[in-house]
Amino acid sequence: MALRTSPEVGGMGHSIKRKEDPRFIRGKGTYVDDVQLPGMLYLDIARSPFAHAKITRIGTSKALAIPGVLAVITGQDLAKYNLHWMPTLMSDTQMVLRWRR
Amino acid sequence: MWVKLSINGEKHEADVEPRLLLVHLIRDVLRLTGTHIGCDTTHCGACTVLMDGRAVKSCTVFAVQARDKQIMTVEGLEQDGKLHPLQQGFMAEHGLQCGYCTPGMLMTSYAFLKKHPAPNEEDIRRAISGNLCRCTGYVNIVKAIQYAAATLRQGGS
Repeated sequence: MALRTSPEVGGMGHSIKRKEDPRFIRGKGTYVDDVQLPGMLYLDIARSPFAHAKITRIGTSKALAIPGVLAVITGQDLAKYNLHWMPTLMSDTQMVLRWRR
Repeated sequence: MWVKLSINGEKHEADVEPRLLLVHLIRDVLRLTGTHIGCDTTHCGACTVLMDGRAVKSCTVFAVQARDKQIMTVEGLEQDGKLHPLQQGFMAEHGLQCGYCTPGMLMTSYAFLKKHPAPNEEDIRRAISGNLCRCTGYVNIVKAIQYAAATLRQGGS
């Protein structure tokens, strides 16, 4: 027998009406891409073309020289703020942006 | 380049770069953010809108190609405060979870049901094959479209 609370209590064993649907089916949701704030910038993530390799050097000067580029952030920049390691759902940690391997 | 077009029955005009995509005109210039960008590569269908009644992926249409056209987006489905049967169906059959693909699903099926009022499951699955749902809710999406088809056949609105 399925576990089921009484109809007055509801919850377990009862379907619930989704409160978010009326927004989403009208195109009125607010997803991150819909947020517009003053001074917003674009971000692009440069990934390694190799799945597993040793990083010997990350050159940022050419990218920084492009007009309109405000910052190039590497793992070493994050380390200055102690933000280079992050916890994972597996309760260990991983590097946010790699700079060695 | 100057573009005049109609979106959901409302006339709009804008001065756009020739390279501007229709989806960016809709989202960034006109701020109708119901139309989503899922992939930018024409795979996912989240950006689907109707152009003169035909379902198009608006990330693969230039804004200038929509000149003098009638565009319809998810925001145009509701009429006089009444949800379209497709919208009712998606709610009734739990055809959405995160809702990101939903606008595209709705617009693709809108165009599809206009041409095929009595589709079977296979027809529906083929029709939405260009729309990806990462919550993998296809079973209920198909049910939602069947719900809408039945409602529309009974003359419901």
